[in-house]
Amino acid sequence: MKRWQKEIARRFDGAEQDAAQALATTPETRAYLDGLRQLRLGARSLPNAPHIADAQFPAFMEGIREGMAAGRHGMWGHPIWAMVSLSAAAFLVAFSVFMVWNQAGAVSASVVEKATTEIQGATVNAYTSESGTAVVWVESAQVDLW
Amino acid sequence: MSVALDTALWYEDLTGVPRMQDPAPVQMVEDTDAALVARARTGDFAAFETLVRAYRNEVYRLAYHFVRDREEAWDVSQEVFIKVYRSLGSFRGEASFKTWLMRITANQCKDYLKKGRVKTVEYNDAVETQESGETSGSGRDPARDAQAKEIGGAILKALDRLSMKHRTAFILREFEGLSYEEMAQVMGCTIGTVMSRLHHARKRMQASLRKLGFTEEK
Repeated sequence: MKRWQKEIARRFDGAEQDAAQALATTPETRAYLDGLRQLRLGARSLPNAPHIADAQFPAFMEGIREGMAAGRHGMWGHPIWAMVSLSAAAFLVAFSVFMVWNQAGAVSASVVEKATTEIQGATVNAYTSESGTAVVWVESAQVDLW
Repeated sequence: MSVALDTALWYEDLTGVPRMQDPAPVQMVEDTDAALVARARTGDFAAFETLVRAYRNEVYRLAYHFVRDREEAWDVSQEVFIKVYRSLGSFRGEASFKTWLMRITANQCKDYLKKGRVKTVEYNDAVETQESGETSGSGRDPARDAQAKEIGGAILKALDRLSMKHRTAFILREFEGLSYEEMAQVMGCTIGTVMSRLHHARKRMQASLRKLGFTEEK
């Protein structure tokens, strides 16, 4: 945008029509100003935009109120759903606590009472570690079990 | 049936040159708006309703210029005020309430048009032109009306070819009569950008009008 175009437009768009006219001293600047005027007159040739009359205002305001009320709740925003989810969460927490506190005893590790094998020549051994892990293994000196 | 005129932004001086009205006392209006916004923030719905009553037509008119349908503009305007009510807490008062409101309106219209929810129409049971100020019915010059309608239609077609930011600039200046400062606040840019967008909007509209045969190549 050229500087002279800026200056003419600024005055044309402000309350300085005479100043804009005064700047348009050459055919180019005059054509530019005429173009601005033409567009403005064209825009003014359009019908006035409609307006909301005082008599229509209550209906307009009512629509706003309805929109606010609908937006406040929506389908999943209704307070009842908040209550339901809160209740479900509270129930789950309570149930978990109940289950933990009411167990019969600690889970005990398996205890190997007897270990046998039908493989001839093989021996079965069992070992229970301090942490309660039971280990059972079969030894065979002669035959490769795999 | 007579139709109430909107407050005229333009008048012609003694030499016939169109001039813009001197702006209303802005400071008093802004103080009132600030007080109403403050009360509305605290839940005073009556204060909010006063704001809606005061600015409903600024919003409706701007929406209409974008969507060009009365019912759609009505819906958009209501959505704007709903959004405004929910966003009152974020209004800091750096810009005037009016420009903040118009910014929300322009953004809402942009979203509306993007979603393709509007079928734009050229004319919508228009009652009067800005120039003639006459109501429809007797006393009108049919030839002049037809010419005005043709030019107006061309302007709207040219406007449709603009990008959203250029269209916004043209509408705010030529239809709403906003100053560059106000436009900058509405569009969220500098005055330099406003002037640039307006310049390009006008240039492209003139090119479109030339193609449509309404202006001569100079």
